[in-house]
Amino acid sequence: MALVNVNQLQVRFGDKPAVAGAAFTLEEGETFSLIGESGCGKSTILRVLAGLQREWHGDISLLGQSLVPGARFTGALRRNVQMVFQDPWASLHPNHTILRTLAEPLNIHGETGVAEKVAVALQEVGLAADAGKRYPHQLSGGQRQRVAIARALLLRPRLLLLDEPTSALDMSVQAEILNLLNRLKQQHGMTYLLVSHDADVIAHMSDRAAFMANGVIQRVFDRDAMVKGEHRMAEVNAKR
Amino acid sequence: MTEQRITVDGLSIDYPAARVVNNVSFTLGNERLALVGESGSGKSMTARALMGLVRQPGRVSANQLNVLGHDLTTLSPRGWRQLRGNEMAMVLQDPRYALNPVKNVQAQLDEALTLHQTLPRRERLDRIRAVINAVGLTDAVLRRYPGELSGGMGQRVMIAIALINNPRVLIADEPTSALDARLRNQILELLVEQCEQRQMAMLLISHDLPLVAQHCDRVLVMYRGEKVDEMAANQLPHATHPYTRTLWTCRPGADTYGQMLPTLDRAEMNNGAR
Repeated sequence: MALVNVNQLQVRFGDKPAVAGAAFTLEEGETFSLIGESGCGKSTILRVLAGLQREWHGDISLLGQSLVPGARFTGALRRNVQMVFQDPWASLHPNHTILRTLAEPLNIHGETGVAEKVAVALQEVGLAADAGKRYPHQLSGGQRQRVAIARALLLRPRLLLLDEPTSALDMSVQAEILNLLNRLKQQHGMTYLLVSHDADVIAHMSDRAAFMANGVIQRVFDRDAMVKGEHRMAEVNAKR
Repeated sequence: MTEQRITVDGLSIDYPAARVVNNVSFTLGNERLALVGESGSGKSMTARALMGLVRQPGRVSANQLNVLGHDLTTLSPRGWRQLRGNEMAMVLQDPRYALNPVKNVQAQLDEALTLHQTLPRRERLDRIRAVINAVGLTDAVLRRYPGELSGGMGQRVMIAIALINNPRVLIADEPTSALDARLRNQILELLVEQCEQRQMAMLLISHDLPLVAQHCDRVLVMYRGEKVDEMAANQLPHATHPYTRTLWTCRPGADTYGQMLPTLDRAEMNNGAR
């Protein structure tokens, strides 16, 4: 059974339709990517699946549960779906130490042994244990994105939503973060939904990729199509 | 490479907390040189020192710092004003921050022109139209404000401002990082084309080695404030330095699917490089 099933998803901001009837499914364990121009609605879909954008129409089943528009996520769903945002400068609380930032999801879910779990998580993403005492401004962009990934993984989610996780980073740091994501996926058996505008990152990471334009998924590419670079062409053609 | 347009020997930049550039030397003739490294490697600070834009409490020291025959270590403020934007111009990373939001494009181009030359109004307008067409935009853009431009158009406007006085050296500091992948090549091709037409030398700063290597003659690699490698761009596939190799091969793609990308062993780098 598919992990995520989206049908006829519509999101409007005022008069502007951001997502106009998108449909796709996500199988357990795969990396599925959304590619497209800025403003095509790919990030909006991620925000709907994360429960951040609660005004939408259509049918979504997420981890076997039917979503209801307007309702907040509760129970297991809140643990099992986590998100990593694009900008590591903006997604961490500037006045909280890394330890406090990482402890928060554990405390909310009433877990015990918080300090040990945070230490393990920091180690998992390749940060020194004393990074917990630091503030976000004392870390580099790549280190901050590692903290954001550690935070998303602490609750052992089944679905990880990645919104341009490397586009704010240097090439060499991007390689480190992509390796980290692939390694953690193997270790923990997660499913990734990745949004990016970089065709190279998509081709490196994805099992399948979908090209979006005007709020609709226009085409889905398999590995063969990506090796041939067809997902690149789609972007160029759509522009014309 | 008959004449050296930029000569840098033993350039160091110090801040109270740390030395951000340490003993960097290079020369630039009539060619395109890429300055490559990750954030914090000192590549932007090197460019800023050449433009006299290192702010207090930063301190620039060098054995020799020469641009187009001007000794930058002793240049007066007046001398700086004559050099900057005229014989030597700079293109910055993000047009959303680098352009003046309350002036339209024409006014910003005109400002660069009137600061350095005395020309009749009609001739200024001709020059402005010529340069805006040269960067691939139409006259209609002249009346727009920066907020009404897309990222790619904004970057073209910044290039036009830099080119309007026909500089002999252009410094481009990450001109494509704020753009999406498809626009990057377009902008770099534009820069290369303009360099060749105007016999202009370019110092191109970037963190994306494979991208800039296609467009430059030589490459200079920096890590933690030091120059670690320097080579011709066409020799990059045979690079031996571990950091250069990592930068060269770390780009993901369809053929790296399912594999780990090469990354830098930072511990080894810190021991080995010093």
